[in-house]
Amino acid sequence: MKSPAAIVGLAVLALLAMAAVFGPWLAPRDPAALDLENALSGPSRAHWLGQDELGRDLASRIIAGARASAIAGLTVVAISAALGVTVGLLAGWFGGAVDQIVMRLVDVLLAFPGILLAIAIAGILGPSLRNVIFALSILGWTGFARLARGQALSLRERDFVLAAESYGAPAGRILRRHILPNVLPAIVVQATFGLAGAILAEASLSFLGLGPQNIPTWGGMLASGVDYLLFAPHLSLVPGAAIALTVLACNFLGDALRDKLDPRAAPTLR
Amino acid sequence: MTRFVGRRLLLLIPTALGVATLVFFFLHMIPGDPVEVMLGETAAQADKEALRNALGLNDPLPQQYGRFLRGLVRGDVGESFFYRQPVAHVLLERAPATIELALAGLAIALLIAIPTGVLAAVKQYGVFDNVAMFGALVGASAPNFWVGPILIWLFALKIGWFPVGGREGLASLVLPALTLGLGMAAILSRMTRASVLETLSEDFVRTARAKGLPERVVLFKHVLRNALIPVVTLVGLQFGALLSGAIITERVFSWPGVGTLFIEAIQSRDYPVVQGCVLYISFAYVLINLAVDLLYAAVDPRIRLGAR
Repeated sequence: MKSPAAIVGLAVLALLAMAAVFGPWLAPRDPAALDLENALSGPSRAHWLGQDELGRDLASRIIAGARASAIAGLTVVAISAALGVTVGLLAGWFGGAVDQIVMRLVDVLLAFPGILLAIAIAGILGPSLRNVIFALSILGWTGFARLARGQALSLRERDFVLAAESYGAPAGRILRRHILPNVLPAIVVQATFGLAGAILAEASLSFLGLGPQNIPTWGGMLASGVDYLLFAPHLSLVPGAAIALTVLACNFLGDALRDKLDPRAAPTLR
Repeated sequence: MTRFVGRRLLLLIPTALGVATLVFFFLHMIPGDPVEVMLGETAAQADKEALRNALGLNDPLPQQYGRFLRGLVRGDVGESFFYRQPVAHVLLERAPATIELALAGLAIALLIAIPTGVLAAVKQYGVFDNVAMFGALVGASAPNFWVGPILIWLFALKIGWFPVGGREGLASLVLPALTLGLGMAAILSRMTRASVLETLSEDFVRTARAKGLPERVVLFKHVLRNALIPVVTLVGLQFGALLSGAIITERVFSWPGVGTLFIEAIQSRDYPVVQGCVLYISFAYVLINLAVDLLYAAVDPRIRLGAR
């Protein structure tokens, strides 16, 4: 991949992954250590991103917050892709009543605007990382299902699939061995954009106070920083920048992957 | 056209029913006891049971579902635990603020996105194109709840041009509308650019140029008319994002709309209001999409005469 945007995207995501996995060892300080005397201080040599309203080290909290974003983003995308691709392939392959029922359900779920339902579900279930993941996966699979179904529909008529059918390969084998590998590039592109969406949605829920309460989240840090905008704008600006940078990196990577894997697709953001 | 409109209107019924059914089952299958919320955890068991009976929460689920649907047809989605008023009433009171914010956001988005997208396409790969499209990608990645505080910090706290929040007068609308509009402008400008580029390569544009029309006439009379059709659709599709964005933007600016009501209802566990907000916002979204489809069909006869 030669695109500079893709390299930047990959580099940022690699940093995120490192922070998520090795966060506790990388963080300069304990992200939960209080220092009330120096609350709200700006960046300094000891605390290079400053300290929050309880005097905790902002840099360490940003590193620690990467974990919630990474777990939520990856899990939501994995669940959504696995469920959506399975359902979509089956609907596209078998057609008929199965297809009708599945696609009507997808249409109805797509009739819900964005994260409205996720906010309601996460809100009622109570704030936790598990509930955030559950709430986001309920709607997340529909896009994958639609994509996989469309691909399965068109691939079903192709010669190599007809050939496999004619020598008696069972449906499951054809779907796994012949259809899935051809659907995969489009799924990978969708998953990259899906990761951006899931990380943004997790941050939104955390911003609204519906995210995990026991670990730092970028959205939650941003929300508590808003109260101190006048004296310590860095408390909300820095976590927001972390979210935006991560989402931007996913979008960069998604754009580049699409150009590479799926050149026919229009180069627009969805 | 009449047949097309009729068919689309008929399709509205199963979609609305599906949305209502999903909302009902999602919110009823989730654990949590509204009676405990209303009376508090320490209330006597007998009191809780009495209220549960009065609210019909002890009836079998299908019976509750039937009652819910019958109420919905009459526009009755229950009574708010907190306001002690019909949910529809509470919602209607807050709706104008949200509509005002959404329309202002949309207007800002279009005012920024269309000129930017067109100019970027006309000067493809030029400096403006590169800067604008990079800006658009950043804008599409920046969450509302980050852009909002930046604008507040800059224009309300530092420069003092606009109020920090609330809804009093036109000045208070500027920052929330800008927050909402910038994100959408980012997506729409990319779409406008792509659509103009595609139209520029059409045969009729070559013909128009070949017969010696000035570039300005080609652009405004031939290209834009065709290029903006898909943009209209995207505006419709983005309306859902706009409504979700409005929920969060309202929260940032304490804007007294449906979004703020929704979040307050979740925090106070006011289930009827949560359910009502999800229902009404989803219905609004479905209706807007229908309006966009019809508008699209009116502009482009291929849609209504084509397959389906």
